[in-house]
Parts: sequence; C-alpha cells; structure tokens
Amino acid sequence: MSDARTELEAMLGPAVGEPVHATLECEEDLAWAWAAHRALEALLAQTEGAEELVAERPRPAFPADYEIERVIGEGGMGVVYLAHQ
Amino acid sequence: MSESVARQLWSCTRQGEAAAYERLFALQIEPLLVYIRLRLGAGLAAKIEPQDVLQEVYLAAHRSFAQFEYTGKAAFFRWLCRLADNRLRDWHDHFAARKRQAVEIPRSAPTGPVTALGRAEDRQRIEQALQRLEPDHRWVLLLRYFEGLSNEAAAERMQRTPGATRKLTARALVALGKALGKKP
Repeated sequence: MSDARTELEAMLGPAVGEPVHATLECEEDLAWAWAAHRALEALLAQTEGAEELVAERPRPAFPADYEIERVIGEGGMGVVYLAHQ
Repeated sequence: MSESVARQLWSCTRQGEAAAYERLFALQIEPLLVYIRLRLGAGLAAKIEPQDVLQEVYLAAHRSFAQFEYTGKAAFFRWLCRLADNRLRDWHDHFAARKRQAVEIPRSAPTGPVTALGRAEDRQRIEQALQRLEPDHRWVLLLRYFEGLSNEAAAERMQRTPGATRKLTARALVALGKALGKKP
C-alpha cells in the first residue's frame, strides 16, 4: 500500500505544523481511504472522456501470427490485449 | 499520459469548432448533476430542480468560456462545479427575482450502452455513498475533489485550520470507502 499512501498523502496536502495525523496510519483505514480516492478519481476521469479516449485509440500493429481476442485492461501507459499465437 | 479528450475538445473549441463545444459540455452533464444534487442538500433540494441549476451553470459557463484555461486534471469539470457553487450560494437571494433565460443543454455524451450503464451505476453508487456521509465529510470531499480546491483553500471555506481540514479529508475518505463497502 506504499503507493496508495504516497498518493493519498499528496492529495491530503502538506502536514501543516500539526502532529502527524493518525487516520491513515492503520492499514485498514488506508485501504478504505484508497478505495474512496480511486472511486472519486474515476468519476473525475469520466468528465475528461477517459473512456472515449480508450474507444478512439487506434489499434497498434500486431505481428502477423498473433490473433487478438480482446482488451484485458488499459491504463495511462498502454493497453493490454489477450492474444493467441 | 496522453492528453484527455476534454482538453482536446477545449482546444478545438478555442479554434471555433461548435461540435467540440457541444461534446465538451455533454461530457460533464451527469457528473455535474451528481455534484449539484449533493451540494443542494435536503433543504434546497425540495425547492430547486437540479436541472435548473445545471442550466444556470451552463449559461454562466457559456458567457465566461473565453476566460477559462484548461490547467490541470478535470479542470473544466471543476470550473463548472465552482460556478455551480457560486450560483447556489446566492440562489435564494437572486434567482427567483431574475428573469430566467433559456439555454439549450446538450444531451449527455453518447457512448456504447454497456459503458454508459456501467458509468451510471458507478456514479449512482458514489452519489449514494456521499449522501450517507456526515455533512462535513461530504462537504470537504466536494471541495477537494469536485471543486478541486487546495487543502488551504478548503480550510478557508470551512473556517478550519489547514491541519484540521487535512485530517477531516482523511477521515472523510475512510468513511466514504466504508460507505462504498469496497476495499481494493
């Protein structure tokens, strides 16, 4: 959960002269907060047309002996396809 | 990461493409209605239709579109949320007395049926979970995520210290996560 903690800490803003808050110290709370953060970020992504971007992204060229079945997932860095050789 | 569709649409709109303008606004409708319904609260919700607020916001956005700059994540949506917040803050005082001007609202962004359904379910789930939170938890998340305010700006609006606001945001996220009932 270290990435989650880093991203959440960045979102929460700088700790401003207060004692370190304990809220996200517990791993379980960190997981709950992370789930909420991701859900809100996904909602914001809708307003940016994230799904349209994926839909409009042209398919890359594949080697001739690969048969593409479907998209498994996608993210900021690329798309993962299920393929058979 | 590639440029978002919304930002591309904004660039095209600046070059005078009317279709891009329509699509850019259309993308925002459903999420903006979520914000408006949450922001209205029980008191105002009985008196004001979210669609009316939406219409007011789009009219205000249309008028001041030239001043908007696409700066960061979800910048356009967050700008609309802040406009909505401004409208709602003085709604009682001004709106009733003003002559309402009709503005045509574009339809929601067209997408495939499965995607559209999935998105609608996600939005509804988040809206219901936010609705169940304590008012201050809901408010801080609306300020930070929807309006895109910094911790300091949110603190000022809530008349709390930045430290207290930071803690409140953390607690609000934990509460929302539990209300959503889903851990990653």
